[in-house]
Amino acid sequence: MNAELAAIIVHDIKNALGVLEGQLRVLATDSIDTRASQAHVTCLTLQEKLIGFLTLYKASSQGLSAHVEALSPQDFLKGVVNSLTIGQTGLEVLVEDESMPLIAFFDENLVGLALEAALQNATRFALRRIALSCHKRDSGIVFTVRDDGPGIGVQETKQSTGLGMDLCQAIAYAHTKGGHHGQARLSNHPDGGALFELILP
Amino acid sequence: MTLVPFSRISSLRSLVIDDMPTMRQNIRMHLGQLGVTKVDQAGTPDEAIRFVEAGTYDLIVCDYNLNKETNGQQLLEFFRTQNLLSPTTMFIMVTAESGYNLVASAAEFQPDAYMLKPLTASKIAERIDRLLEKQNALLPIHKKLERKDLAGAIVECDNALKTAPKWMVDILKTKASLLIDLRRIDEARTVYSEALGMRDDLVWAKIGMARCNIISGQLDEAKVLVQDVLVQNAQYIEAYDLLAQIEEAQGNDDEALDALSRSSEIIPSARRSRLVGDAAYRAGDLEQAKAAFDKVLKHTKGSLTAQPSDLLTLAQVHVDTGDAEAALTLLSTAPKRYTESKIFNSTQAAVSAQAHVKMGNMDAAEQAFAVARSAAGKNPSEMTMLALAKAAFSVGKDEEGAQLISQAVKADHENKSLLTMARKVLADSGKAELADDLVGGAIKQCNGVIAEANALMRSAKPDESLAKLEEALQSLPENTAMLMAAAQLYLLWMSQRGVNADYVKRVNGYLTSLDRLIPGNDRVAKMHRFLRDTIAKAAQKKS
Repeated sequence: MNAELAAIIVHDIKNALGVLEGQLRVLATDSIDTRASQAHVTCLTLQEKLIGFLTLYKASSQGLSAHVEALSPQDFLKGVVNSLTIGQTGLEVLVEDESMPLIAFFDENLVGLALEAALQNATRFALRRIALSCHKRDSGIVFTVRDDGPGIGVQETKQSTGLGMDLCQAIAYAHTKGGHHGQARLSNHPDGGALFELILP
Repeated sequence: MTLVPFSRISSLRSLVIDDMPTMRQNIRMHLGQLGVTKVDQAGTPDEAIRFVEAGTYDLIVCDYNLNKETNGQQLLEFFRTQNLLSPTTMFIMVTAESGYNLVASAAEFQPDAYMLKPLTASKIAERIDRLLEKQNALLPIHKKLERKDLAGAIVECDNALKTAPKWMVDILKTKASLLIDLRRIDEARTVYSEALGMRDDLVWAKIGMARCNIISGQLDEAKVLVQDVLVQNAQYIEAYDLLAQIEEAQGNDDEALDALSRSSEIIPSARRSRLVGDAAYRAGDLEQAKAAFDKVLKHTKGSLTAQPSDLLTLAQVHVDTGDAEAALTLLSTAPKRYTESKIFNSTQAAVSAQAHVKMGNMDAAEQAFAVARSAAGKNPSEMTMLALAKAAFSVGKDEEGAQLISQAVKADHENKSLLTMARKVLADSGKAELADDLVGGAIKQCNGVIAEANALMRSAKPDESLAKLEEALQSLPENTAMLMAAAQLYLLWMSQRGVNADYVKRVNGYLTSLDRLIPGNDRVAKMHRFLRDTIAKAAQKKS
């Protein structure tokens, strides 16, 4: 299929999905039937996946560069939690304020996408809680997402990272400073659970 | 998933701009979820312009992709350059992930926020809430700015740095640019260094440093900084403008033009092409001027963003290149709304007169010139006077042409580009030898009036001094040097003899005109402050 046509179709799907999301939100607000809310969340998740995929596609085809601004990471992370689509899983998602810098330089739209992907991943393994944080490292910053699940390695055959991790890599790489690029890492926390780190210069 | 109660959000008057009806409806629905009921919708840039001209909005959500001619960024540019948005209007630009980097990195006029499609109600709410918080934190600064109290605004910046440190980067940026406006260059440099200490690749801080260098006359140092920025970020438009300014100041007209051309390749907007066209015309590069204004007209054709001066300049360029027919054809395509303007009618007739001369049609030329003169009225614009002068010379009315040149120069005798254009009209008309007499003479006359007024003031004849300038300003209401001298003399009078309500009104009038004619001038800012201090002192004495 020709690339231009594919782009138009994807664009249409994305817009239609946006309309559907709006309709489902209204439905979920007006209805006492919990299935309406579930449908809304499903739609939001699907939307995120599509945007994640498109961003990754753009990164591999044209490259991605970050529009870095000075922001309060605390405000930003609270915003991410507030518009979270995993609210109904019964998990506790919290922002750890400790040692968080007052301001940090990053692209909030891109980092938002990366953290959403990381959070989606964490919900699949977390038992009770997921913690988000941001702190300084060297001359840059690190965003972390930590869950209290079994950690990585245990179920690697289940393809626990996949597209999400590639997206995070691309977004981290899009952040550059003085020739240094950011990077995304997934590891086991010494105290248990998986630790996702988005390291930005 | 519950939405935080956004009571402040629900009262926002908002406008949604998107070419697709379903997307407009969708955003409207999202806003409705947040309790926003006042939502206007525009499907085209022109519709959006009409809405914004007719009403005041707190929130504008605009899609980047609008139509072939105008995108969201260009629409924002139009709103900002025409001062159509209030400082508290929040403008959110919505882009797709595919275009996001390109849009955001090359934007000359930054929106308050970029958001990626698709929007959701909670994401919109979160972003607006943050923008409102910021607006609130910076409110004391903006209140001072509204009153033109730059020094007061700087004090408020320092306060805000303590009370709202999470906005420190925005605050530092504002503070530094205010310090530059007040020509407190060393302090501005300190602020920029502080910002660069936080992150050494902040482009705006580097550009700010370059600006400090330009003002303190260190052009070579400024050039190095600007070029360094362009190596790292070839998309940063402001750097090209600064480079052009430096090159022009160093007398390198071609290099200045080149810098502007490069910027218009990155942002092929009407405004950019217009800058290139004007610079090319001033430098005498008619071909490039023609190409640039062709682009401007193509860009704005049939839209409310079209400006009459673009059409007139291109027609003048056609006449100058000898293509009189093209000039007349172009003028005949002018939209009807232009003809409501005296300036347009008069200038159009003046350019037509020149075209008719070139085509050997002297009767038509004389006729057009007569129309131009009568349409010009009592106080014609500078552009009209210069076009009229050129027409007068071309129909052989040399004396009238000379008088018009002198009149144009007197209108604002310290305006450098006006002087350049006046000399150019003389040169183009084969009257270069008159330039020193006419241009120089007019400048001398104006300066003479100011000197006389000053002398009268010194010899303790304040009333006569003021009357002298008032009289001159009657016929030259936009002469910035005279406006400044008048404001200064009234302030001096009041500082010696006490506040006079009528004089305060006059000074305010002069300063308002000056703010419009030469925005951001440091001497004008100082006079605003002096006036405020004088009034405050007088009030204190009374109580």
